[in-house]
Amino acid sequence: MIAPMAKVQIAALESDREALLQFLQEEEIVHIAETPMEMPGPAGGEESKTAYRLAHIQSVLEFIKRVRAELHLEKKRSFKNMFAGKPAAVLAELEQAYQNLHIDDLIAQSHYLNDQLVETQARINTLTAEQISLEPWKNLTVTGNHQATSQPVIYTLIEVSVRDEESFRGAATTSIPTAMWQEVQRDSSNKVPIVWGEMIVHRQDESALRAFLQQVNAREIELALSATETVADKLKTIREDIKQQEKRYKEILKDAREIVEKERELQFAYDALLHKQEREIAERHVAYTPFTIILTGWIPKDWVQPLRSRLEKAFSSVALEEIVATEGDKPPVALRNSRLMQPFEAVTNIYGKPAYHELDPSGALSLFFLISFGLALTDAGYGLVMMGITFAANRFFRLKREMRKMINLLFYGGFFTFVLGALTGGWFGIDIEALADGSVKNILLTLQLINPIKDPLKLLGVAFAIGIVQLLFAWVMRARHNWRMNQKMNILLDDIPWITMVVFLLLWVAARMDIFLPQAVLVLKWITIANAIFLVFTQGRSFKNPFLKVGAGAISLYGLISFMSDTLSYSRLLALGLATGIIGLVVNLIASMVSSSIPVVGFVLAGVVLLVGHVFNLGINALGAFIHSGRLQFVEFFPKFIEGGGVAYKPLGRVSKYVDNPKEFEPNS
Amino acid sequence: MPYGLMLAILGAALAAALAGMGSIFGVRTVGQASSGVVAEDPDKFGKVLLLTALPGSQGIYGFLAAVIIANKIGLLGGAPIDSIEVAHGLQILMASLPVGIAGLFSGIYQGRVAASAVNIVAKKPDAAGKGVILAAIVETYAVLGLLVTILLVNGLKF
Repeated sequence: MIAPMAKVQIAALESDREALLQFLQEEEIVHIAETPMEMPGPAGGEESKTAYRLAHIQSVLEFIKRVRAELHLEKKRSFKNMFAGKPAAVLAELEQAYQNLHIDDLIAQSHYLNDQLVETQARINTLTAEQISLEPWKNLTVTGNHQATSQPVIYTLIEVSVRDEESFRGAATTSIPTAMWQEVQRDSSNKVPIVWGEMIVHRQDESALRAFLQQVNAREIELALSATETVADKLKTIREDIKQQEKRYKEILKDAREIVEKERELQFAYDALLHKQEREIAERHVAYTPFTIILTGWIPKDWVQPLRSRLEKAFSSVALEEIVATEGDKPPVALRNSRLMQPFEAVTNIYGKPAYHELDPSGALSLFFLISFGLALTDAGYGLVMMGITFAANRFFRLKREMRKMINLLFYGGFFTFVLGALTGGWFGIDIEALADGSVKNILLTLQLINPIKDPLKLLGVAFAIGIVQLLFAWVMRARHNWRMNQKMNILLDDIPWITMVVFLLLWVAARMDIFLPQAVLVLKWITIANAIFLVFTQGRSFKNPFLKVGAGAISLYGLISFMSDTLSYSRLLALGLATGIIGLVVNLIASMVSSSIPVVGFVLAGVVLLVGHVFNLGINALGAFIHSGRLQFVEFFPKFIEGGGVAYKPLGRVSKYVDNPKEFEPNS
Repeated sequence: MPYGLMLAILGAALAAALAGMGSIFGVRTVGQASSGVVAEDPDKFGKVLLLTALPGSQGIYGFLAAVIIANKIGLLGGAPIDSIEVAHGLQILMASLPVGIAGLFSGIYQGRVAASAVNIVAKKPDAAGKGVILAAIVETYAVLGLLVTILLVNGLKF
């Protein structure tokens, strides 16, 4: 059913504003009514401040993530928490963490450490680059002194490609009289092989050397060496320097561990701020007078009294009044069902919420959904597997309320698949008639009422029958809706005559085909015609013009065609069910071919084929069965009695990022 | 009469190939849209994967029809194929058309609807289920095509 809602106003002292909002956020019960005009309260400037602080904490958390990755500190997740890895805490704990944490210090510290890390890394990169550039010259004995301009000899270091070396040397000997070339290193592993060498020239030829270097295709390399330092010495210092820097980097990371240990507190603080931001957004809908605030919202009717007493206990001066909803108000819609029926809310929620004054279809669709799901799978083996998996998930994992609903729904679905699968003889796609004779075969064969592969038309008839029953039930639901809306005339003139019309028509057809009551065929014929005439004269009653009245009534008989096309839509159940059975059959066939044709390891491979094949078949067909059973509800069933478009009941609560609300794991809200 | 058998095999091949092509085009369209969303937010992979898998069912329906036909003409073990008349081969060929053609087009267009539904995942992840249902409405006609092919092949007596 749809929970009846009450519109309430809560008045409190201005000084209690923050405490009241925190209280309501923790209770998660008041759906705050949108006021047409958003009023910036006295705390208007706070919002941007919160967002700014959130961004800062976020940056610290990102820093932690980076440090974790570098230190290879992975978070462990227990088996039980596989699907709910976040810690759970109540709002007060979050606030506590936020108050206790010296956030500004942590932010400053993390920024400082981050800068240090980046700086050290940059230094290491520069040193490494220098090291690479020096590497070719490591055998050179030249020191800084040799490079001094006071020396009579010039040592020029040259980098030239192997291709150009020959011509380079030739040109050097002709244009510089005192030139002497000596190769230092050669690297052929590059795409362009390179030669590094030293050209020794007398100082008197310096101008000739400069002119020569400008003409040739070679690069002069200058090394910054101190007076007595060789390249090898320099490389050694660089290596030591790199080592030093790397050590320093590790030390900084070690210092950062301190912040990493604060991760949980920081996450709590982040969520505390996030919830503060939500309260600030809620504050936009709060009305202010000089000393008091007034908050308007919706709560389930039966919560008015409990909430009032809880409020009075928590605050010295507070008032909760139920007020009359105005014409244009759209109360939010919350579905409320017994524990047995709660899983089916998951199906309704996919469609969206019905309007507030309409019926909750969750209970009504339950049986039809499960039968459709079971028929679309029709394999008892798969049903058992689904039941086993969902039972284990429910038993061993910590699950949120919405997730639990879905798991329970799949458990029910598995049960119906098991029953309907046994009735149609589907057991992991095994042909039960080919089993060895014995009691197992006999039991399975007795259970099998229909063989869908041999006799698909019979199962098609079953699918249509389910469709007809559900579509007739849709009219019963419409009658219930009309009864609630006090439109009893519509029940008499629309709902009942349409139900009888279809029933009599079907009985007449059955009688004509000698299936049922063949002796009553004439009576049924005239009853059906009378029913049709009744519809012709009543269905156009909203028109004033008498011709239009009858015309519209006659056209309304077209409804029979849409009833038929809606029924045909249920044929998908047969197709999907056959698909599961035959793919299972093919998997078994391939496995048996593998096991008989490959010697020795054949049966192992066959096992793999069976496992992968059946998991795939179950996965893809359970998905299809769920979607198509859902579609039958949304497209064929719902539109007969609900229009939808209700506003979902979303009380002021916690939309968290790092910390779960422990309430979400409780079975009932 | 080898031509009869040839025509029947052509039927099985068309069912698998046409419906498979529909799935290929459809999955490609959704897959591209999904990659865009995952590039922005890798956490949404699960939801877009579901949408991407949706137009894949046509290929399975085609495959299924091909297996049923192969079974009917005794290619999967069972009875040896001695002679299939040309008329029978043609009957099987024609019976394969509904799943092939409906699978081809519904695959392509379901892909487009599902790609639009990827937008829903990107903007309103809570409403992703509605996108799945919208895409599933296109699939109805592939399911009906499969049903017609199964009923026709099953009804053939020879």
